[in-house]
Amino acid sequence: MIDAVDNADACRRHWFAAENKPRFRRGSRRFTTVALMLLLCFAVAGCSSEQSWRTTNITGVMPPLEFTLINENGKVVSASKYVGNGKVNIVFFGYTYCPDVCPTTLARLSGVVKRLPETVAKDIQILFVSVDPARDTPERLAQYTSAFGSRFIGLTGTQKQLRTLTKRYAVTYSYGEKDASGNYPVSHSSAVFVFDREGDVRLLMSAYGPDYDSIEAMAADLKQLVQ
Amino acid sequence: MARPAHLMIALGLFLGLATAVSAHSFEANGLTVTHPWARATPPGVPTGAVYFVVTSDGVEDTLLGAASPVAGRATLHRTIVEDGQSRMVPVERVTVGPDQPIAFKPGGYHLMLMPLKHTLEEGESFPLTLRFKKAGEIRVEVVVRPLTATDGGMNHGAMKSMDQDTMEAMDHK
Repeated sequence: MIDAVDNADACRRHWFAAENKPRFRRGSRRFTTVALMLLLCFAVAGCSSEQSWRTTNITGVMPPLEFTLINENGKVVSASKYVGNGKVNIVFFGYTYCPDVCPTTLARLSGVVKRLPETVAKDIQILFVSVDPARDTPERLAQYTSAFGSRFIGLTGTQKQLRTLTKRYAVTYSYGEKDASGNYPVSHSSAVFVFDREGDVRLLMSAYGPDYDSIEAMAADLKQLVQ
Repeated sequence: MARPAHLMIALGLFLGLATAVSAHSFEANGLTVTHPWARATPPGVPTGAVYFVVTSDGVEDTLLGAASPVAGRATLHRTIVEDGQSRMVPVERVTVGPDQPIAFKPGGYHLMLMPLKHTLEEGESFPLTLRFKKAGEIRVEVVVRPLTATDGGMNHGAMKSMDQDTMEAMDHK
């Protein structure tokens, strides 16, 4: 386990080193290029030798899970409540009036959980964060998530809380124009963020869109992360 | 000796029905609408989505709209994912031709039902009328699949390759 952590740290260092290339001086460009190539080789070799992921590894690229939101009982909660119980957290932003993206994503995640043995599935929880608090009351969220299963937990928040959280993970949301009956579409992230038991960001999954990750790939990666 | 003939007719009807049920398709005026389905909706949610495939045996036609008694409106939409951000845009018309099937499926085009008059329950079915420019109205029965369905449920056996090929061929850029 310590090896894995060291390895992840090493990968991160290589990654950031590679990212820093504009800092090198012009005169030593050839040396720099060779050094960078070597560094990348090590980075790739180092990352793949310990753990290989079928979805996108974003370890260290984003900050650990942290938020202040409102739960399905209307109470203010912080991320520590969900990280503290040692579970792997899957975070997805959406809204309950969403006809296609959200139910499709949650259906696929439900398929992922079903595919996993109970010993693994019990350590996974899916946090569905509604970015449409005007319509998604805590009661509505509770009804919605329970339809997908006990591992699905609904959260929402004030605009300020939601902006803080979405900004932290480099995603946005916005509201479309209202129709005659006052309904509106919500543009939101289709990304699925996965945080390990310590609350550190680990994987970026896509359960929707043209290049979505298969249920098998997501299940395999979650199993690896839980064990 | 009319019995064998009756038997043949009965058998023919049975086979015809069986085929219609397993393929779950609706034909009219050169167009075929295959396997219209909707995902069950969680309680209290006023929106639903319908998915289906339309193929043409020769003529080019245009899907203009739809209506269903289960919802106030049935509108054509497409979800666009750009830079990890998804947004839903209304679509006015979708063209179908012999080499250009229409595939409404999760992650692309869908028919949005809103507001729903009642929750869509797994196992039920409801009528939907698709309106085409040339073929006119085609009435289909939409099957409601489980809330956790990720596709039309036809991805097994021989249907698998056909369905997936149709889907992939269709991905309107």
